[in-house]
Amino acid sequence: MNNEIQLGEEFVNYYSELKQEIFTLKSISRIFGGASRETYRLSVLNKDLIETNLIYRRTQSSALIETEQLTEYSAYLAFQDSKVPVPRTIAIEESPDTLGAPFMVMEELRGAAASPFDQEAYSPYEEKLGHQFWDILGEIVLKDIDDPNLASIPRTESKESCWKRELDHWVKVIRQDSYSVEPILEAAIRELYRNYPKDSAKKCLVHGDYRNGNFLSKEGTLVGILDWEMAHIGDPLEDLAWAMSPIWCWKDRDRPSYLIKRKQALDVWQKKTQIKIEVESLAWWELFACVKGLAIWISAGHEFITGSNTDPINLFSAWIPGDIHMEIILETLEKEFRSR
Amino acid sequence: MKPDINIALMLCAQEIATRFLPLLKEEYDQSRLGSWGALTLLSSLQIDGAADNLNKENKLMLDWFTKTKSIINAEDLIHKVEEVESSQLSDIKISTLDLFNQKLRMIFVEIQEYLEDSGDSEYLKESWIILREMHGHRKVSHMLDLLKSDT
Repeated sequence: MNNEIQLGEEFVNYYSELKQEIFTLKSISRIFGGASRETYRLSVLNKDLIETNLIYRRTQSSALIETEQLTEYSAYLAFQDSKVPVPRTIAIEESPDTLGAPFMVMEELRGAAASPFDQEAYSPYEEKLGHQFWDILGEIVLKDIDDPNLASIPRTESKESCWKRELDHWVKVIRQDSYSVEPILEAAIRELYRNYPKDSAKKCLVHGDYRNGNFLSKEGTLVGILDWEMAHIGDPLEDLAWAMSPIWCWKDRDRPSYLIKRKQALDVWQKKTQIKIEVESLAWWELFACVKGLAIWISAGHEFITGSNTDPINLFSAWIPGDIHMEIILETLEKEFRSR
Repeated sequence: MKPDINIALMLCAQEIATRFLPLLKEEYDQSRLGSWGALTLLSSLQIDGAADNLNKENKLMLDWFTKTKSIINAEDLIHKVEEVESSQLSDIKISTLDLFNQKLRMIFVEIQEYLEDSGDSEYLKESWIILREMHGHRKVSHMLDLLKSDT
């Protein structure tokens, strides 16, 4: 029996016990991409041969970014049956004792994911999906952060600024995992600490990785927002700037996340949130997005170099997205210094 | 003359993509091997110029250090610059050049920060021209199309 089948069989035993009903494994396959969790698509049958499709996400022994399963699961729980489409949650197990690693289980949503580097991924539905994508981000901003389901989501101590908490966190990751000196990145870090943004009047739930590639769509309808593992309470501009980053629309820079035009996107978001966007603050968060991105790609490279996780996605991340974020910083700071 | 490493890597990448990838049934395995093929191809395109690029980067930084030294008023930093200026590399292996490159980059960061604090704009502008050139040596983002991988 190969490892995957064995994993599937062990899971089905667990699932049968959970549901108090006998299930058998029809199929299991691993989904490529996302190095922080091992994600499997499972199909199980009950005694009447009725099929259920599930997503089984296991924490990797070496996760790209150290995040708690509970963070992601809590966000899914908070948005069940809401205007923010998410998969139906089934179970979470934080201990490795049950199936060898912490895991969570959700119902599979029927829809297609896309590569964030494919500019035609959403064609011909860019306009329709674009409005939904930016409107849903507004919905996330409006979510009540005192929802009990969000109690375990990381948040800033009351006196601390959101920008500082986030910047300190990602700079710490860079300091821990860097394998080379990057003067461009160092200049960006200095710039962010020197010219920090105003504190937002409102704190909100931040998805943490809201972009193309992290949602499912089906024939022009956005059916699921995924990958909430970096969710936290923070500044409303953080997700907006991350999703706007040129890395996610590298070949068509004015169409963030390869959906609608930047101005249209900002209008949809502002209309939903009723938050006035401070141009300088958004620019800060956009530069911050590059530093955060580089922290993630550096961390991926570190996993690869040290042999903790030699999945080629880690090498890919360190090479290509890392290079793009470096170039965005370079363009931003070159302009900045030319104007001084 | 023996076949070059870059040619060998390129042929390896082609073989992965055309011969072995179609044999795999699982989507995950296909994606993973496909990524290895694309990354091998990328390596084949980069390896030939790697030593030359590092050598150019090191020279660019050293020349800039020598120019900026005259306006630096920090003994410790000047000492670091003089130390690397007098360094003799034992060979021109990529690893040797890279190790020296890292040392120079650390000093580059310190000088840039010093100039920012002292309000010098002329040498700072030059530093950004150097960084642009250095980035150009390592740039791979234009090869994005080679890699059909999801993150």
